[in-house]
Amino acid sequence: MTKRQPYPSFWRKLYTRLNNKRIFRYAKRWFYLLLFLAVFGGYIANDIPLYCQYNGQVQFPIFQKTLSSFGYSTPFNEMTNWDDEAFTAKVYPIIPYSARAIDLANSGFKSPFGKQQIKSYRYRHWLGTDQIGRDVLSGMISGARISILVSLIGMGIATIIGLFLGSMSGFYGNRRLKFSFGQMAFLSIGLLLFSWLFYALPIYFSENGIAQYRAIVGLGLLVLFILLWKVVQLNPLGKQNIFIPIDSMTIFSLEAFGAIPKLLLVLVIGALFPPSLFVIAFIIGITHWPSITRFTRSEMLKIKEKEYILSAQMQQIPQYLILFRYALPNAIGPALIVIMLGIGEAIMVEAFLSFLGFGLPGDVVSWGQFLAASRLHFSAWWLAVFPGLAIFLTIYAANKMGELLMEEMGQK
Amino acid sequence: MTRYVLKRLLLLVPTLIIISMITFGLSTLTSGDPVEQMLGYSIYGDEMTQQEVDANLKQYQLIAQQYHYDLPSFYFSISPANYPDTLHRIIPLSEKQYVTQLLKIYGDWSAIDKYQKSIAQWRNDFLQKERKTNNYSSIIHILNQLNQATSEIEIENLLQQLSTFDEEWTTDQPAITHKLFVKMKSSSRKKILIPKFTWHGFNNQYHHWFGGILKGDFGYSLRDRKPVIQKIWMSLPNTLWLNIMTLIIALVAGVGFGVYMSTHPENWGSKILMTKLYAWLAIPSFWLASLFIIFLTTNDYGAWTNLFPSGGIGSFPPGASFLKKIMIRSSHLFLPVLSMVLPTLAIIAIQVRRSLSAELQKTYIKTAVLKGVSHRSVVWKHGMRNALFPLITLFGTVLPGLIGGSVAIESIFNIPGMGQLLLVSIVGKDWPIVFGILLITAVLTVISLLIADLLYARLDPRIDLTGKQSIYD
Repeated sequence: MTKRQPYPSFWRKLYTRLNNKRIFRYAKRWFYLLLFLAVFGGYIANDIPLYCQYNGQVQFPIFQKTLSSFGYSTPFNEMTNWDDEAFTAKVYPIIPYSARAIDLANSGFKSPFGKQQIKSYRYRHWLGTDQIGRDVLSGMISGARISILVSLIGMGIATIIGLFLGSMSGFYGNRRLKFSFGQMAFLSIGLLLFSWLFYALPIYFSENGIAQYRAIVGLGLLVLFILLWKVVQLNPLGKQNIFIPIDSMTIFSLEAFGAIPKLLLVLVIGALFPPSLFVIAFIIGITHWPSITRFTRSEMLKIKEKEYILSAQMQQIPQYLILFRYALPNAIGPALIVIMLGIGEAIMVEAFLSFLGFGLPGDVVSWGQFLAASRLHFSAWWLAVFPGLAIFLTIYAANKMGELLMEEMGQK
Repeated sequence: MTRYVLKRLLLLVPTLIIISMITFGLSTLTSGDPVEQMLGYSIYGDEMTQQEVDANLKQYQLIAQQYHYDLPSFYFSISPANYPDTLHRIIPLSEKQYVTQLLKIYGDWSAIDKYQKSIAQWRNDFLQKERKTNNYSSIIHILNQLNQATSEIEIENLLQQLSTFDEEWTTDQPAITHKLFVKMKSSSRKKILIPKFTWHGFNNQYHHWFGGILKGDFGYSLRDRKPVIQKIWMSLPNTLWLNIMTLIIALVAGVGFGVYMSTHPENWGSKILMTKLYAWLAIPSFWLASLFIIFLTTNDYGAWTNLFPSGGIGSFPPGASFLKKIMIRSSHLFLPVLSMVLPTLAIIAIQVRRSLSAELQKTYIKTAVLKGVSHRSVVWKHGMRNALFPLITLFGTVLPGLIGGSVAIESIFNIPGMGQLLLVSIVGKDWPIVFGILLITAVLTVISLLIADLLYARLDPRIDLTGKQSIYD
């Protein structure tokens, strides 16, 4: 048993207080469920057995498939006929359908309450089927993974941009981020050169076919960059300082970005690029940083006046250390509220894109795609109700968690 | 106040320029050839003779010139040093993409240029030959392939195939092409790594596009070459109807609910309302709309569920009275507006409750109560005045959200508004309309945000307008 610390940390206290609320516990459990389905969905709904014997030899097909996706084992062929007599003692998962498996006997929108062409109740489509006979329930389980992945990666990108820009602009303001002339010249030229090489090097090396060259050259450039930075810090070009008005720059980009309606921007970018999970996550990332930036910035404005920051400044600790070691960790808590709200919004955006047909490619099943399918066939209400309910509950849970966090932290 | 307004208006200019640059930057990422889309047919074809292709190219050039597609895209460009300055002049777009691909693989522009011209010459020479043999079509096919091949292996393979038809050639163009290919292959590629800055001047696509927008000309649809602004103008009223109705209803109901909840916090009604509001906030409006259209507009679930018309905005019979017109319009707009109202209403009500509850705790309210001001007057005159300020800033988030959300609602209920135009244009790759809509909604949002800010400054005397402090702090 671990010894309980006499003074619990800020985060532990916050968590304990939140956990005392029933609604928070429910929201938390909903997210645990989604995470569980995202990771182990393949073991709950799949059309290949969990366990079987092949000519008397014990096999775990789904587990082997998971291993093979990490490159450790050879999977069964996609075309393996599991009804073959060589396979005995088969144990199927709870839902014996995978998200993409087509059940021809039950194609054409079979209702969850209606008659289904099934061997036994073990094979029933509990939430119905879609037009080509795919199981809605297993599709929703696979959709949980998509939603979780898209929202976590997307909000991760947004959080990195938002925390960085917001804390820099709040902490440094317009008159405190200063560089000597030499540093400034080095930084700007170095940045331009770096972005140029980022564009030109792949073109140059793609035809020569020496891929590892790229990594070596990139690493060499980085080392050169750091070495030169040390030289530049000796200030060979004099100590004339240049200020970077980072606050005005951030505010300006916030204003410009905030002006374009987010959903329209998402829609247009989604239509421009061939859809994939990472493209959608990226779109969510680059459209959701403004709110995090704004929140972190206003929090940072309060924090930088606090005594511990002032005392750190008295001790001549470098500014960037004060920012990243003292100030930023205290701004993360409040930013968590916006991030939590953003996760709900990210799931909504993914569903919105899929709903309008600009989402993930056809071979990936997501919640929004069921809603889109329901528009073609009004009598198939189960395609709209159940996936929509999942979207709604997830957004509701995320909103509620954000709201409770806000209450506990005493934010407005 | 005047100084503040002027300052805000001046700040608007760079914001608009940045927005236009973002929009234009996105528009350069589009796929497809806009000029070919305007022409409506492809200029190349396996069966086409050289004369036909030339005639098509002339037509292409005319349209490209008319709509400025033959100009460089921005004031300047940064490209690898082996790119020619006049890359933008190569038409059609497919040819430009082919040359760009060659430039990425081989270093020397003059060698590439000569090689490419010699293939065209080769094809031309072959087409002019009088006697046509059995191999004619297969040779033309390979030559066309050669005119698109970029990688070394691909070109070598095609040249190998062509060398089996050696008796067909009347000129020594094949040998020249071979020689030029070897020269192009062995040219140095080091120039690719060196950046080159080119200044194109003011005669560029962005300049013409932005200048046109300032004059109210947003370009032309690639479908029917109609002005973009005309198409948007036709669809704007329906979207505005939808959004303004939604906003008014959400505002009235939201403020009402918010005031009720903050003045009767212990009432069971307000507790139920509170949980309801958080649920409404989480409902995606497009899901709600799908549920409405599935369950309330068809006979699929019994005759009594067919309550509303299933789409469109309704057409008026001739000679309909004003009341009848309103009835038809409102029966069609009821469900779309309702599905957009609920989430918006929830945001407004929660905000009003939050700020009004905070205001009602303050001492000046106590003073007012103690000196005998009536309850209604305390809430609406003293409290609400201060509580409404956050609501003004809320418009900044509500309005763009509504415009974005109405895309899905319009497509579900088949309302011919701006959102549906946007969707149709995206599917049809009619990009000038897409980016026109993006820009117009952005400008509308910026202006409404500005109005909200100015209103805020006008109404709240606590805001310092002397300009000593940054307006953002």
